[in-house]
Amino acid sequence: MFRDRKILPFVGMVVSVLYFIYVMSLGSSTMIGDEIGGDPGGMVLPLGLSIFMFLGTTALFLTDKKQPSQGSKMETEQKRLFVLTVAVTLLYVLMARPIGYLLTTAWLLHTLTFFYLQGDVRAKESAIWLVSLVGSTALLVGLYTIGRRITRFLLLAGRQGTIPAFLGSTSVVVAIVLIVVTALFLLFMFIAKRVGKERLAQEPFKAAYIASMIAVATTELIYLIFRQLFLVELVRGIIQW
Amino acid sequence: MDIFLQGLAQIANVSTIVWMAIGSVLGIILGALPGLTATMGIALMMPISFQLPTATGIGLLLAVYCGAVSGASIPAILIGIPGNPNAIATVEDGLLMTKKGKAGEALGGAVVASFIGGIGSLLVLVLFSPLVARLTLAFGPAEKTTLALVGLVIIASVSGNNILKGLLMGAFGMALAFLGTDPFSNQLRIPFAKALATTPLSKGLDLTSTLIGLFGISQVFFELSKRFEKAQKVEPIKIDKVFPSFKKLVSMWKIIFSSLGIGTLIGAIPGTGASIAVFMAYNSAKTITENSKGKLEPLGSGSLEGVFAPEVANNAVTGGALIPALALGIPGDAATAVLIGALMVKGVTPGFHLFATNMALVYAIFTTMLIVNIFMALFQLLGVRLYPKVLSVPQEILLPQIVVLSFIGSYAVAGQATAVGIFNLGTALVMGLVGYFLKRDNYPIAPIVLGLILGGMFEENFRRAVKLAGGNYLVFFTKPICLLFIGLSILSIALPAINRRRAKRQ
Repeated sequence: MFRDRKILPFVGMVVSVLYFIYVMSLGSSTMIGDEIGGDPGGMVLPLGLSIFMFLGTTALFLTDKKQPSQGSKMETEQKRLFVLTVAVTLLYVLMARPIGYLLTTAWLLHTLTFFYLQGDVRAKESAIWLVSLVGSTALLVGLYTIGRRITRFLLLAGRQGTIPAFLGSTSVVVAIVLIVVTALFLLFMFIAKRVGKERLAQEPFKAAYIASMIAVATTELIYLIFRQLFLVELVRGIIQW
Repeated sequence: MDIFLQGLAQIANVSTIVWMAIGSVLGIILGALPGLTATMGIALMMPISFQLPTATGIGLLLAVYCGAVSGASIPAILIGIPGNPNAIATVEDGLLMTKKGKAGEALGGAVVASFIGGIGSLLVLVLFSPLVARLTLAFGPAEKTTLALVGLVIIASVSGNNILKGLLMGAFGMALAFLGTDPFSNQLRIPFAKALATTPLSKGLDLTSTLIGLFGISQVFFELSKRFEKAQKVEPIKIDKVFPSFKKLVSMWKIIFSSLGIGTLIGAIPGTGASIAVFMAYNSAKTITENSKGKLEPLGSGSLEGVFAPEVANNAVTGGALIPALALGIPGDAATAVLIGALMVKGVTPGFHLFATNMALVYAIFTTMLIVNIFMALFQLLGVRLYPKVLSVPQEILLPQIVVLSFIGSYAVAGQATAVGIFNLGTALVMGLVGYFLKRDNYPIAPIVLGLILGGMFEENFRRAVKLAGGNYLVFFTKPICLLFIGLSILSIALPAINRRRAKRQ
């Protein structure tokens, strides 16, 4: 009977019923100092909303039917990529705190870029994905460590007066680190292209290389902007230095 | 004059100018990439703006907004695919001009048209927004309640094809806005209150993370559910003439003024947006060219007039949409809704209070609009040969970047509070998935944002109005302004429904 109905209005009906129960369980609270009365209380609007949402979703459930062309349009490869994205992003949210910003962000970027470039999630390519993931992690940690050392040196020397004070200011430190790290990164790219010239032209090695480079560059750049320039406390996780 | 100079001082520094320039370039690139909208660009830049002084942050967001609206014309002209819906009407004549070998003139014309639209609507914004804001002086809690209602209902009724879906999304947004604490009693209003009392949810959903999830992450899931669009290869184009001649501009004065008027007016009506304005401007230009006795080239034949009309209109929407946004706190479209969200995160509440207490910031915003329009025109003209290359960035590389930027953005809003940042990551992911499923079934997202932004204003004023009336719920039907707003709300629901029924019959 309901095969031609869409699932979302039904979900909406369930949510609105749950919302109604939740609002009822909360009870009404009135304004502080409302001795003479008149305040409708904090329950009125949420209650009204839950009733409206239930009636509205019920009406949609009964009227908004699936069109014959509106089936599941996703192909198997797309479905696999979709599931991978949901799983990897969920893992990112859960692991960001224990593992830290640097590694989780690079892994997320590397994994998504690699499999998107492949257009599918296939087991036979997982070995190449894993090896390139380890490689990009090593490169990132190396560049990060160099950047941190330069930062510490400049900040300390600037404060001690062994170098001109402006060299120890936040924006100049970020600029210097950016220049050094970019130079090292480009050098690595140049060497990698020279060494693996033939291999890097073939799939899936090409995708692994692109994914690694993008993951390292983006993660380091975001770190420099948000952590060093805007002083956002990005979680350190296992990389404590 | 002193206040104006104070406003100018807020933006007359290197940092603000640099961020505006960065915002303009980023906006143009975002606008040029098919599938990425101005709203998404603003949502992604919100966390960065949060780290900057208020005027600088707003400057960055406005630059992204204007840049993205204008940049959408690049792929529309070169490959016939609009960067976002704002440039749909530019496709026909723009692509034909490219095929005729006049790509440079089309791109340059679009930039000049966008500049005229932006500056023209800015003038209207400067003249009218203080007047509209002053009108709100007569508003008490009852009027403010019905004002929030009319904003919500209008945007719900015009976004999407199904009014009920729009209204439900508005209600859903309000329900999300009610999470947190009761504004009058401080009672916790979250599910599993005992267990979640110490979590960041006790302060309500974070607006920035919610917006980033709804506009950024959901778009990635949405693009994933389709086949990856192959990166567009743009054939090398010959660009010799970029600027349209002054004589040509003068001959199009009727088209320019009608498009400017349409864009500004449509922009100022909450919920309408540029995609409606561009078609109205295009149709109006069609009539003008047909009556020009051959002085103007007909639309649809690859004429500059066909590029000018929609491009003046879509950028005129930017200034128009800011009129209700700044003066009433009611956004003109989804992009300005996110802008209001950014202002509120900064502790600035739009409306008369802003004009009465922080006029310097208002002047700063006006001046910023002028500068970002100049930057938009400058950078788009300078990069007229470079931006086509942006179109060759494949989605496979772009989408993971959007995911990471969305996550970092929602995390960064928390600043030093790591636990809140991690909670924001979860919020962005959940809202991303919610946004995806809603988009998939054609539920409009913009009303959710309106519900989120206006929910608090609605509840506070509703309870205050009823309380002041001694518990009388009919207070909203006793005041003329309230009746006007209620009438407008009913009309905005009834008119589209009547029109649709009439169209079905025909």
